[in-house]
Amino acid sequence: MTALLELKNLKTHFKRDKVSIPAVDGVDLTINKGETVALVGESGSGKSITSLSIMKLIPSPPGKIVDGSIIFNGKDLVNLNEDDMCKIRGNDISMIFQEPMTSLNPVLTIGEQIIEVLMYHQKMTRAQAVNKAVEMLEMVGFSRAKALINEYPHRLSGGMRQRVMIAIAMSCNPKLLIADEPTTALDVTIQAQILDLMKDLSKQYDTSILIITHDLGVVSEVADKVVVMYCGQVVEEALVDDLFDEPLHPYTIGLMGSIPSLEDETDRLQSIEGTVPPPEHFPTGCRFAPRCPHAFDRCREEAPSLIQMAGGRKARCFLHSDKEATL
Amino acid sequence: MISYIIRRTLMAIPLLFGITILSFAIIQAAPGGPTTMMMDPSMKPSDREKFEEKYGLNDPVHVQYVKWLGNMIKGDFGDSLIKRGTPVSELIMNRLPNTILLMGASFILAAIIAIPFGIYSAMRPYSKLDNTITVTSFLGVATPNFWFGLILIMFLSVKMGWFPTGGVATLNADFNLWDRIHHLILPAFVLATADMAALTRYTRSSMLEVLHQDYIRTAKSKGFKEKRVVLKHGLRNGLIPIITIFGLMLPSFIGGAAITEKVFAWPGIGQLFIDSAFQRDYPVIMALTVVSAVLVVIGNLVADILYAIFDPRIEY
Repeated sequence: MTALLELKNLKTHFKRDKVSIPAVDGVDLTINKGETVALVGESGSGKSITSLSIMKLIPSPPGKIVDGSIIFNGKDLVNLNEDDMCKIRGNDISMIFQEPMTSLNPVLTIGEQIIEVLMYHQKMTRAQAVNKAVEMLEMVGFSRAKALINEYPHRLSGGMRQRVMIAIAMSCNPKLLIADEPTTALDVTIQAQILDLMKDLSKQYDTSILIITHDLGVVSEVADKVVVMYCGQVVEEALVDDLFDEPLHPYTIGLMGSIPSLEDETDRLQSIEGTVPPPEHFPTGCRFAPRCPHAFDRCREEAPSLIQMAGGRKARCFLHSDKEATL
Repeated sequence: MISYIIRRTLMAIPLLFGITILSFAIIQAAPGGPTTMMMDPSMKPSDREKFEEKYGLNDPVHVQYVKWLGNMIKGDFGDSLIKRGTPVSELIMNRLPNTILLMGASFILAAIIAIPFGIYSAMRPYSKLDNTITVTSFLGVATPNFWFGLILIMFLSVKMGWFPTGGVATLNADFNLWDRIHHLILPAFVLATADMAALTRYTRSSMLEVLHQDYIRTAKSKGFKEKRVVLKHGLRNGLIPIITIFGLMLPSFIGGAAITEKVFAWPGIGQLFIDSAFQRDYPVIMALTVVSAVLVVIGNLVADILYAIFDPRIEY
């Protein structure tokens, strides 16, 4: 399998009052062609900033990619100028967002919002673009696509709007689709439909997906590979089955433990003690140590590195330093 | 749409009715009357009484109002008390085009200067140019029209001789488009300043809010360049609240026009308004009140219709 996207030691910092805050702090991530990778973590772990960094849509100032590289299709996006980046956005890499209710422009018709992308990137004529837009809307499951072209977003429900967003994102047949919590704002039943749709489309068009979520149910549904982030760093990476069989990092174990189970008779929901510290208060040593039930002295003094293990698994934890694969 | 316009027009009738009652009452409550302003020493008190009798100025206020209203509904605004024998409608119709020209020009000037500056300010908030625009806007809001007009006349017209000091056209000359524009520039600019400045601020804050919306992020993620993102996806949304401001600005334009016209000797209804107010020329004052009220009502109606055209979420 060839790598489509490779993040190497990506660091995105935000400047606040002259202090540089590491929102993303040395992330390595590889997405292969046709693969679906889930980026998991609590709010504030840096997953959304990672995805916006790939698109180079970090609001700047205050945000800035300060180090590392984003190799997409052989090109390093970090050094690419804005004009060239515009050719990639929406065409080779497209994105759907968490809030379908507000992500569509309220004063433009649904058709226009798909057509403009096709005319811009694919240099289609308006007539060609209209046909393609109808086709895209049918593909994401609208039966009356022709009529929908001339309607405005406020007439659609959240799930329908997210379908429109997917239609827009997929219209130029991108190599990579970044979905930032695409189902968080939707009903559970609609969630499943949207996930199925994304799965089908990625298979059909051989599109890689980077799905950002904090919902492990979503992960098990769609992902091939899971990357768990905590405090701007990757703490664990594994194939989805391996991860659900045997999570290694105490943080991942904690996340898994937080899923309510039908069999359990306990009244209280499990949770990880404490909260994600803000980037300016990251602890020295392991960043998870203050919340970790297994933390020992070394964790509080020394920062663990991401340990490579057999089977392509990685974990950033001293508990597993004995399993380091000899490369 | 049509039924909405009709409904709105019908709703304006009681409003206009209320405005006439109020302004009639206020102007009657003001001390003095048309005859006190006639300082002709040869006028005997008996002549004055005869005059008041003839024009019904001795009747109780409500009788006068009902008489005036009855005539007004028939389209008769009466004759001017001061310029005796001249119908009020003629006085107004001679001057209204000048005022509409002045207001229209200022309005367009305000919009074409303020909106681009406002957009730029929102795109680069706290940049040097934004700060300059902000300071200039506050100066513009804080500067009184009449003072600014006088200063411009003093420097640009009197000292530099670049512009005429007043009037709509060179006296006794044939119609000449450039001459008209030349006369229009200063008064239009002066009348536009305050609203231009306010409009810049409104545009800035409206666009600033819009540019942080999720759909702007979506537009960026589609690969569009900044200009297209701002102008196509941002501007239409950002202008929606500005349309309301346009409607609200109209009364201030009419008020500002009165002062600006006076300063620039611009023969419009504003100047007529001030003169007749001082002379207690009741029929002229009342007619002008009705005309400006109608203008404001129409302006707001147009704003509401534009609102619906720009924002598809609004339905009648």
